[in-house]
Amino acid sequence: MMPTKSQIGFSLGPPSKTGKDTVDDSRPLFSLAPVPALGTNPRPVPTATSEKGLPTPLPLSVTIEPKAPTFVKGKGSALKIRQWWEGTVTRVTEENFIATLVDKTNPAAPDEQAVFEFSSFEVPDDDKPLLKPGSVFYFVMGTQTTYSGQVISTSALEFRRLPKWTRRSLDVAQARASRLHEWLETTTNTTTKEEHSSSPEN
Amino acid sequence: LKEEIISIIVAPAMARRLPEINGAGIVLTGSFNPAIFQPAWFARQNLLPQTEADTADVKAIVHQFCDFETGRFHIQVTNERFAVLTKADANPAPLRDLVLGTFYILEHTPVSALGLNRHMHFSLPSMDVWNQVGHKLAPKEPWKEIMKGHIGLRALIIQNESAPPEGETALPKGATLTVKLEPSTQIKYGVYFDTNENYPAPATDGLKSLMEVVRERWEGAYDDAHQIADRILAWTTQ
Repeated sequence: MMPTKSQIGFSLGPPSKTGKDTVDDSRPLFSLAPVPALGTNPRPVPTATSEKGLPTPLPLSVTIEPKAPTFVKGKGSALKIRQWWEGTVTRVTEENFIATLVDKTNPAAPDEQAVFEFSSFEVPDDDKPLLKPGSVFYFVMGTQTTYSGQVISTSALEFRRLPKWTRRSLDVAQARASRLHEWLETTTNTTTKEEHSSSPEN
Repeated sequence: LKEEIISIIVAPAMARRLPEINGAGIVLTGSFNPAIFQPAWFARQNLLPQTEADTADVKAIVHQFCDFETGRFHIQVTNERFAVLTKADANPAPLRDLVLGTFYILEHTPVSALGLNRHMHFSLPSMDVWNQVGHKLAPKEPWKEIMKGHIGLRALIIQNESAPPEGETALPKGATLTVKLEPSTQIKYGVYFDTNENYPAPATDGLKSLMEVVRERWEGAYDDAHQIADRILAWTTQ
């Protein structure tokens, strides 16, 4: 008899192809001294006696699969994001811009109005054309540890980039608008006729 | 689907422990033309700032393969796979926008699955606490009767499969959540978490459906991954 789902301790489903990949067998063990040296491959496995380690003859033709992108600590000091907001610009002046902020770290928090003074928050040159009422940006606050170990607070602004409209999208939008316009005209005409035909004077 | 994928006790966001290194990725499998995905193409489509595209570190752009890094992203495309990762500790929202924008333009791309991934390295205060995580997740006593010598947990992978609520047709069936945990090779006494929400494409309107998942689910997947790691560490380091 098959055990019920709740009693199965192992799940043998197919591996996900959209995750990073399989288990990296070069990683160290938990609870097995010595502690691995950081950034190194401390346990050179597989050994020559494991199946993976067997020497293989050089094939005549090979397809080298590119290594999947990995994710490693950057060379600079890392930013720890403590809080981030999605903002919508409501007004732009010479000295500042005003925005409504939605707290993405704590969605229960109420929306806020904030003033970003250009003297304190520099908008990158590439993003300046995006700064106008209605545009969306991300505001990140966090801490960064310098090389000397000092922890400093930092923040950053990034504007959302939307793709340019494609010719096809414009055509589709135009076609939809035309259909909607036709439907509205037909509906309005039909309603008007019904109103006339049901009036007591007729 | 969020509730179906995993049941999580919601912890106050600000009380959670923060990862020392943090990143995220979105992966699509399907059929792609890697040569399209050049930094200049992304800039031309208004998906990357011109300066970021101009300063991209291009490793390879050939017919079958494209691989480059910008200040915020690492983009790698093969004939079968499109992957974008944030650089460590980059803001996750622009990654979503980049993927949505890319496949808004390449709207006829055939796709088979989508992965929403997050990667985190957490630091633990001591070797004892670090070892405790491994012991709690995989108690060694039964293993000691089977294997000799030092026994340790190298990796743990847990996967579940979603069961979309009745009447729910907007999201693809068969979505899975995989949580992988390993000792970190980046952080001393560190634990590495890797989460993957995998969504197979439905037979019709595959790309449209998966982009809807990216739009609706990205922030939730990113946040849930953090909660999962936080809960596992809270439980195993008690």
